Amino acid sequence: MSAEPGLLEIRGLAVRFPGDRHSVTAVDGVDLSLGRGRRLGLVGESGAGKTQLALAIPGLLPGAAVVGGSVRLDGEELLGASASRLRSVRGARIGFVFQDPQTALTPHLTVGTQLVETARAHGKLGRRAARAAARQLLERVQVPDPATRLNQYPHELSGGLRQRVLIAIALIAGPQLLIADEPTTALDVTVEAGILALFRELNAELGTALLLVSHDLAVVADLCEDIAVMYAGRLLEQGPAAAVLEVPAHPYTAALAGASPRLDAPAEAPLAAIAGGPPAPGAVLTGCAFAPRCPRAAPRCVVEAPLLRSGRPGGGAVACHYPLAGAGPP
Amino acid sequence: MTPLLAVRGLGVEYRTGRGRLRALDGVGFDVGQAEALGVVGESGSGKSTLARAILRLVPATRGSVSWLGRDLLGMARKDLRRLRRDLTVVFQDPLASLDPRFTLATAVAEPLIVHSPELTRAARQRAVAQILERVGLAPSLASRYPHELSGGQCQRAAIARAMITRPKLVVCDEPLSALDVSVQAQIVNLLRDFQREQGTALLLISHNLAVVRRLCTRVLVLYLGRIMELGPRAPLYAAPRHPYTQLLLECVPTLGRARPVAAAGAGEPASPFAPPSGCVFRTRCRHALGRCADGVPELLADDSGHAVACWRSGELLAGAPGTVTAPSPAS
Repeated sequence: MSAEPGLLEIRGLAVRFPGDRHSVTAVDGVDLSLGRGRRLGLVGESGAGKTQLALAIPGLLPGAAVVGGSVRLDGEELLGASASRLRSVRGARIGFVFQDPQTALTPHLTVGTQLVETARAHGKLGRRAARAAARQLLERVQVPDPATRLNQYPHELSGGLRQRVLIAIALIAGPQLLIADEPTTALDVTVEAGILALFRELNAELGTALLLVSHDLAVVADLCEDIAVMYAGRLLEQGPAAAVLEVPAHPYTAALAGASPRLDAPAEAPLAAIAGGPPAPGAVLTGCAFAPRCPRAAPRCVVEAPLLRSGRPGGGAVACHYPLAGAGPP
Repeated sequence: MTPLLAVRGLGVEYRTGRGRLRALDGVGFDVGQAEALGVVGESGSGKSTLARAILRLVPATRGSVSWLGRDLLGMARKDLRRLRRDLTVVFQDPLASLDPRFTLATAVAEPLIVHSPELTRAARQRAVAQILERVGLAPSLASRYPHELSGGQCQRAAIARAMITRPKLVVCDEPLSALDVSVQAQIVNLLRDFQREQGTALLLISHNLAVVRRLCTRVLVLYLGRIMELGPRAPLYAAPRHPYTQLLLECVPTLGRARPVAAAGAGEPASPFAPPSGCVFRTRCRHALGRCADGVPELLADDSGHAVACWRSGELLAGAPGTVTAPSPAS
């Protein structure tokens, strides 16, 4: 990894939701870097805190959340920035694509109006210029017949087309960073394949860095150069996606890869399931969060939380007292 | 031997504000005793409608379904109720499919109360305890309500409820889609064990071809309400015969291989309100020729029972991929 600071530098990020009896820690001290123009996949199961982390970056968490640590975009601290400053960062410098293309678009405005409004909110474009830009961008995200689509309402579009429109809206102000939270989870695999290809093209052509939040290791393997694996609010492993997925160092990464059904594995064999479930939200964790489910756990794992240390074989970092020494899954 | 379930020429039409929608058209297949059949396809392919028609949750407009030789579609409500002991269902959303007012133990015991009223309370409780252990739910969870359980625990409870009467066939409609990968693997293994150990037949509706491959020995591929391909697992995955099956397999996200570049141009299903003439898949098919628009290809099986509905399957199988035409963009 280069010493030069990345586009996005997250240090000790913590997100906590205080409650009457106990508070829930969604993100528990995460360090994460994303280089200019890179594609990083943040994976984890439900409740791991990946969406809360993604929302914390552009300051989109609800007011009840207590956020600590530091989030720097191109050197500028975003945590604690004023509401008006954050508004100008969102859209102009950070674009956001949400999971459900059905609800992320306003149902009573045409696609064109929504694109034009976003363009005008961030630039000094006139109405006509903004409309031309909108049309061009729809073409760029491969929406067929863009002139017609501009006058259509979201419900007239298929799920895949809606997601392309959302990507166009996220990109219209030319952001440096695109955050996509489970952008293909609600879509068919056939449609997903097209959307992932589009993300790759846009990244290559526009140089927009991508933070992809996903539960699906295969999707991250397909699209991202780097991967970060999250569990119970913490990062357990990060590094080059190919190296991490081929030879995981953390037992959780290995278990997750083993539980994913592959087409090249024997069809008759049972899947390598991970026993138990993730800790309940609000559970107080001493030691490693994965220890209760870990086949390699030793007494030390239950009392002492491992730190994320660099020096992972193949690059990256791992938070484990007894990492798999490049030997592959146990 | 009479198949457990025999579906013939099944058609389902929905009347909607936008006109008639033919959700299923001329679908026919058998499910044998203890067999696991997978049904795959994109959204709108008719997978869930198929499950619902077999369960009599939507009326069929055409065709027949028979259960061990008896007509299921015309069956009186009283007989249908009795059949629910042998033909059960597991739905996608485990939380929504359990009654929020019932504890887990009550929910799981309910089918026994209905179908085996002769059982004593003690015998019923024994059966519930047994099945809960079998699906991996701790006895301490028995008095919990659905909202107190995780998605995986609810799905285990739903499976326990579906299995407690020792049914002959369980229809599973996307039983894994709402679950995390690690939990999904547990449920796949659980269904697999029931099928192997108790000889429970499965009709597994799923959009995930990689999961279906682990559970099912035969696979049915649906597109816009029609069967494109139906065959044994090994040849269907290794050498799919229908261009649609090939496309689906190219698009499956899976570790250990890069998605082929062609997958990016897979396009989206045509509108079910105005399905293409002839072969419904032709507008997305990279092998389509003009004549594919002329008539609906018949589903033809070879000696091994591997069936495909494609005008060009003969030529394509003969190994002439050089004739491939450019993929037509989805409209």
